Amino acid sequence: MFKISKLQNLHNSINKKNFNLQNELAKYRKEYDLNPEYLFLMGFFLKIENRPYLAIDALILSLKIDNDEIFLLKKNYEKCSDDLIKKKIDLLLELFILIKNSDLANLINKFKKNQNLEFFLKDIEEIMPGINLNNPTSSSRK
Amino acid sequence: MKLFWNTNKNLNTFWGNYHSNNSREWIFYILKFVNIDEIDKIENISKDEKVIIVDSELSGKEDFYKKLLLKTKNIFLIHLGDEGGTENKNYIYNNCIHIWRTFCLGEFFVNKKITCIPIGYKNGVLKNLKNIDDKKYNWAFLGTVHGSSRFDLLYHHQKVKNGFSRATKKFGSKDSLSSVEYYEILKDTKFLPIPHGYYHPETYRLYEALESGCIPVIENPQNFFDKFYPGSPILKIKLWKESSDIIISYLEDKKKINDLSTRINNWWKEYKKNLQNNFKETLDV
Repeated sequence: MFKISKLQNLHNSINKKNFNLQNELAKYRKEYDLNPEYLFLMGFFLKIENRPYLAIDALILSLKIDNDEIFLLKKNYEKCSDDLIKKKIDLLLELFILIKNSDLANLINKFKKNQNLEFFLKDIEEIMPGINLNNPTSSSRK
Repeated sequence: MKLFWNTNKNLNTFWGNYHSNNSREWIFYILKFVNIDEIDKIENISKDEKVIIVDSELSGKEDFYKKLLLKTKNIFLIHLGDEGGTENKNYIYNNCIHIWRTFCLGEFFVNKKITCIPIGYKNGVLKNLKNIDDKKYNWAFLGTVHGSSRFDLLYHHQKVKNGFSRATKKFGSKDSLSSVEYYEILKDTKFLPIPHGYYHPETYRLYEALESGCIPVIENPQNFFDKFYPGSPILKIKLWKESSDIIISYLEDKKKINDLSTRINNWWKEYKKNLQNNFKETLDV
């Protein structure tokens, strides 16, 4: 499912005893922080940490990067596999149900019908314009 | 006691200017019990004189502090910003007597040399606040919808009648309300739902709400506010779906809403007074 074996290993180890996903993600942060596979794992981690909004933002950013060929090329990243994209969508749906937001859940249902990631991301961009790579406020706050 | 505001000196950055334009009222308020003489040049500091430096974006400012240390080692720093805790500040912190910093993070909760302070409010808070019963709006949201938390906040508060919402394109953008317009809305608002900041749970909005007599309903990721403000009467939630029901239940009970409003106002007054005393005592003036 993952194209980066190190990240696949992290995913495989999630349920192992004494495995600390937070520490492992921290180790790879510098190398992969905006990689769409890494962001999926980050979204997964934030969900289990009960931080659903940050998890949603991480997963949406991950999908946006999947859909940004120029950025992928510039960073020498690869788009996630279809399987992983499906997992992200499923995880987003779980989170939207958790926060009881039917407007967001409906966007996922619409995507499931038309399978057009670009349309889905356009809808998201319209209602939450701040989840992007070039937010000047976020970079200046670092 | 001399104070040098260094956030925007020899530096033209968004946050350096932001703090210079918007954080002064808050900083001078918490320094109320200290007799401040603001200076515009470090040359005006006498040898080994105590000085307060108000600064932000410390990465890359070591040279300024090296120069300052030649004048005095009695440096007290008020460090604004650093929301993600990523600024390179070790050298500067090591060379200050005491640091008050905004955006408290794990390590700073337990460091005796560091006092975490609220990030405070933007200049222009209105005086003559209204009683909670006389306020026009039951809730309000003003700001950018830069992520899912804020979108969800707006979604769930639709069911609370008499709300005011205005979404702007980005933080500080041209379509933002002026300070006066912003505070006018807050002055007329009973409950202010407060989403987490970009990286950190704290946002200016919390303090703007408190200063405007609103009842804050704050998103409390990882129970940050239980630790930062133990025992405070501020309403805290995990998910926005909780907030609208809480607000509706208070709106249905006049006594309950008045009691809460009074408790929050009193707590905040007391907190600020203690903070002012903390500065006075730590600076030994």
